[in-house]
Amino acid sequence: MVVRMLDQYIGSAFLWMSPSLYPYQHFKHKLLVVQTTLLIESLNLYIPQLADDETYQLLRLRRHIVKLWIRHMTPHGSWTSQFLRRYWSFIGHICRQNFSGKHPARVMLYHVIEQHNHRLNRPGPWSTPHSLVAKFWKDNKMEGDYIHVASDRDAWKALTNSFLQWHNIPLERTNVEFLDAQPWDHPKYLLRYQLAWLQVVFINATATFFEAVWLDQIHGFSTWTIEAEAVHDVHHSLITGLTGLCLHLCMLGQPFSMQLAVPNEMLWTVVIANRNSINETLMKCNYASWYQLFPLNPSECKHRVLRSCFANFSSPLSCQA
Amino acid sequence: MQHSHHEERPILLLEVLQKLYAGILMQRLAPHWPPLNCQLGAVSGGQPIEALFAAQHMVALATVTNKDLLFVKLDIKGAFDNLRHASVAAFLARMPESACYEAMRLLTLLLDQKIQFSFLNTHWDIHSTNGTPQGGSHSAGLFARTLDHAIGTWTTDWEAAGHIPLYPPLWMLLFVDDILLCFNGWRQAAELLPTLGECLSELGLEINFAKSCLVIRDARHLSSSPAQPHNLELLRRFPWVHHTQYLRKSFGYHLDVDALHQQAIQSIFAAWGKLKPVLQKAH
Repeated sequence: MVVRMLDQYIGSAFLWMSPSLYPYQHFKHKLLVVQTTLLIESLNLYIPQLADDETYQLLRLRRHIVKLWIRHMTPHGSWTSQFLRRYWSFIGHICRQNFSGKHPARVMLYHVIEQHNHRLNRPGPWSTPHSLVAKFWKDNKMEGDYIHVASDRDAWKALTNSFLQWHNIPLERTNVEFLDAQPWDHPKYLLRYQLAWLQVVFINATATFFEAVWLDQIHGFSTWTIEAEAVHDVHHSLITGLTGLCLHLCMLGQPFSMQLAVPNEMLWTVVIANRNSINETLMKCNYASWYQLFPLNPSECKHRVLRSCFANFSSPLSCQA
Repeated sequence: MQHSHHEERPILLLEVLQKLYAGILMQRLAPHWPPLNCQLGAVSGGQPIEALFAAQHMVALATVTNKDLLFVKLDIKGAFDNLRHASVAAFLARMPESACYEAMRLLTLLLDQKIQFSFLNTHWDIHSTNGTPQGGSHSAGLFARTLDHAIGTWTTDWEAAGHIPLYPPLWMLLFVDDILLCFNGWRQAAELLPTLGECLSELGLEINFAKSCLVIRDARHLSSSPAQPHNLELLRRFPWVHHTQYLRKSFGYHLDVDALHQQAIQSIFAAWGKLKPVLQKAH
């Protein structure tokens, strides 16, 4: 609801004027920064008093997650994305208008194009909708005149995603992120932060069972295990286990973000090979708003703090073996 | 801050049935309106972004071509309240026969406008002789079309007299009563602006010089202007500025390239300031 309120109430305060705002790089960046900042404040993701470097790490993580989460949550994408969509559709709209005094935007676009075809009285590029679309046309090696293409509303609309991608706006919507390595400066932080909005769970799976360990603020190290009724592959066990784990954790609370640490190299290769199905499973579970999955390398697994955690696994991890 | 009584504008509460009735009449008249000339406000399909987009590109073109265009932003004094009923009647009289019943009823509605006042135990009525009632479902549309039609007649006369707009066929941007005129130089402005003033006064409207302004790049060009001295008198009544606000957005010369972008960000924070207390209560 918070996201919708921000998106609709605040977004509508400026998005109407999108077509008159040239999409400068710094403006697109500023929009994303502002939207992320306001959303962080609205979500009330609290960071307690910690040492400076720890606070910095949490601030960085919180900002990173919320920035990506915007894309997942808002149906039309971030404000930057909505701004560019409106910009594009407006150009198409005015290209379809008749050339008359009651359509001044169409008339001025024509005069701007005419001016581009002549010499400018000053050096440097002239940032106009025409120059932008012409560049997009050229970069994408598209044929014909964009004004002619715009006369077909559907054809123009079909180019929207290409226009967004040309502006480096990612289009996929997901709340599952696969990282190459654990995101903290030091592995000890995986067990250090006890925040209501962040939960770190260590998982292990084989063809016959799935096991999860996490540090509970009250109960200490907690484990959850599920054994397969029949022998399947690791992937099946992982999917079943993740579904069951989320259902189990739902009874205990719902954090904003969940980090799933995989301290097993073999298992991580299975995770990476089955990104899509894991993505789908976690999205369906609807437990946390954002998931991060990452591997732990053998040297990280050997850390004293993590060893005490992994001791709760019923079988030794391959990275420790 | 003290306000004079001229600045006070009471809210007019219209009867719902009257609003419905006027709305139905306006709907029935919609297919019969004469074609629009330049009006973008209070008409179907018109949106402020078109006027804003055009205004921004007029200045952008003037800047890259080094042309000394003159922009005149006109504010009309009490626009809705002062529109002469006779000019509305003249406009409605142009409607085709098939729509004359609705046009007549709309005019009757306008002419029979009685405003009832109550203060403590005193009640009195005022018969409105001018204007379209603010808040009426027909007011903005009727005002916008009457003004557009009158202006269209005058701009046709300008063209017949040999004047050419700088960005044909645009003489001005019109959003309900917000007017932004674009002239290619002092001479054209000095010649045509007085006639626009006449056009407005025929409608019962008057330019509010204090809120209007002349947007110019450099005032020094006036000394080399070949315009007739007596014609410049009207121009001298406007404040001369490098930039102003059009549709509440920065407009004019010597502005930062991202002035509008900055305003967009300011709008976000202004809206956030209003929403924040609501969200805090929700937590």
